[in-house]
Amino acid sequence: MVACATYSLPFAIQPIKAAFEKLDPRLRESASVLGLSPLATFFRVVLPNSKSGIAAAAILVFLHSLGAFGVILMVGGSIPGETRVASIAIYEAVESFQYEKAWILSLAFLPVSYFFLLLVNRLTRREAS
Amino acid sequence: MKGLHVRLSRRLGKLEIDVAFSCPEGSTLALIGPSGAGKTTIIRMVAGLEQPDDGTILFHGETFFDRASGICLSTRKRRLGYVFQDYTLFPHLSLFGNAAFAAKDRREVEDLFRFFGLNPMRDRRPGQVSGGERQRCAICQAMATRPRLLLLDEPFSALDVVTRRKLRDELKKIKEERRLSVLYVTHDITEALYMADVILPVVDGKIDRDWLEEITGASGSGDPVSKAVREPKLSLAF
Repeated sequence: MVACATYSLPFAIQPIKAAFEKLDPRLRESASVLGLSPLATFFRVVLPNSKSGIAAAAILVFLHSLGAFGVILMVGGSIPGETRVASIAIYEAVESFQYEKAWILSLAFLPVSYFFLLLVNRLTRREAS
Repeated sequence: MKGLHVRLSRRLGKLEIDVAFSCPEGSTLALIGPSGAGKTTIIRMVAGLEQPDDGTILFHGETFFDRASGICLSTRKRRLGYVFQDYTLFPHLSLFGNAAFAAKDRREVEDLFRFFGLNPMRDRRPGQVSGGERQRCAICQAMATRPRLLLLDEPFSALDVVTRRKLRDELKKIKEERRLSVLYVTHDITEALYMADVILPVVDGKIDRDWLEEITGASGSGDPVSKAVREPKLSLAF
């Protein structure tokens, strides 16, 4: 989990950074005039108004982790029920000539990926508006 | 030393702001002038949102800024109310949530909402109400912190004439009730004449009394600023 999260972190930074940058700077100024400390401003103003960007980042990291292969195989190996993730299962199915199993697993990924990509798209549009 | 005492200078590209003025305790000072004259920058420097290159800003004897001694009090420690030009409200909160955001006492927000007639839309988000209602809410938000000094940056510029008149009456009444010192930025001479005790014309970053005389049509002897205040009929047309 830790290795996977670290590996995927760069994919979260960009959308979160973009969400923070899109925030109207006057909101921060307004919070400051109202007497909020920078930390309170972050938690009470910046975070709630960047929710969509943070959610989009979380989904992108999730999708990236879903397809992660090398890092998980190197750090966690392939222990059934513990560290064997879908991508490793597909790899092993191909390696052992179980092509049908590999096809089914790969196809199962397709609707999941599309669903989350549509969600990211929606969240990004909401953020922009 | 009661009241606000400002002497500041700042260079912004071609514009060089260099002003000195005082606003007595409990009075309203209007900074009036054409767009781009530096009025908003002056008010932002008083709020601490921008720093002057040089000068001092004192309020009730407290030093907000003093370049010579290196003092620059942070915005939040200045305990001011600031109403931004275009209704800066937090979009994730309701109108009441916005007004109560930094309120000292929620009952006070209830009173302000009653006073400004905002109760029927108190649970709506800023994006779901009119400009006038947003503006009222912004004033409530600023007043609920019990500011020592209220800074208003063209607060009625985007409102229709009827709403503008109503809102400025309400603001004037509440300001008098609380004996607040107010620094008010506008380019509307009518508003300045109605709201202010002292009018300060700012043109190209400098105080320019002749400019007010020109636009009000006032002439002859006497201080044009005080003359304009004495004779508001000079420019009461919208």
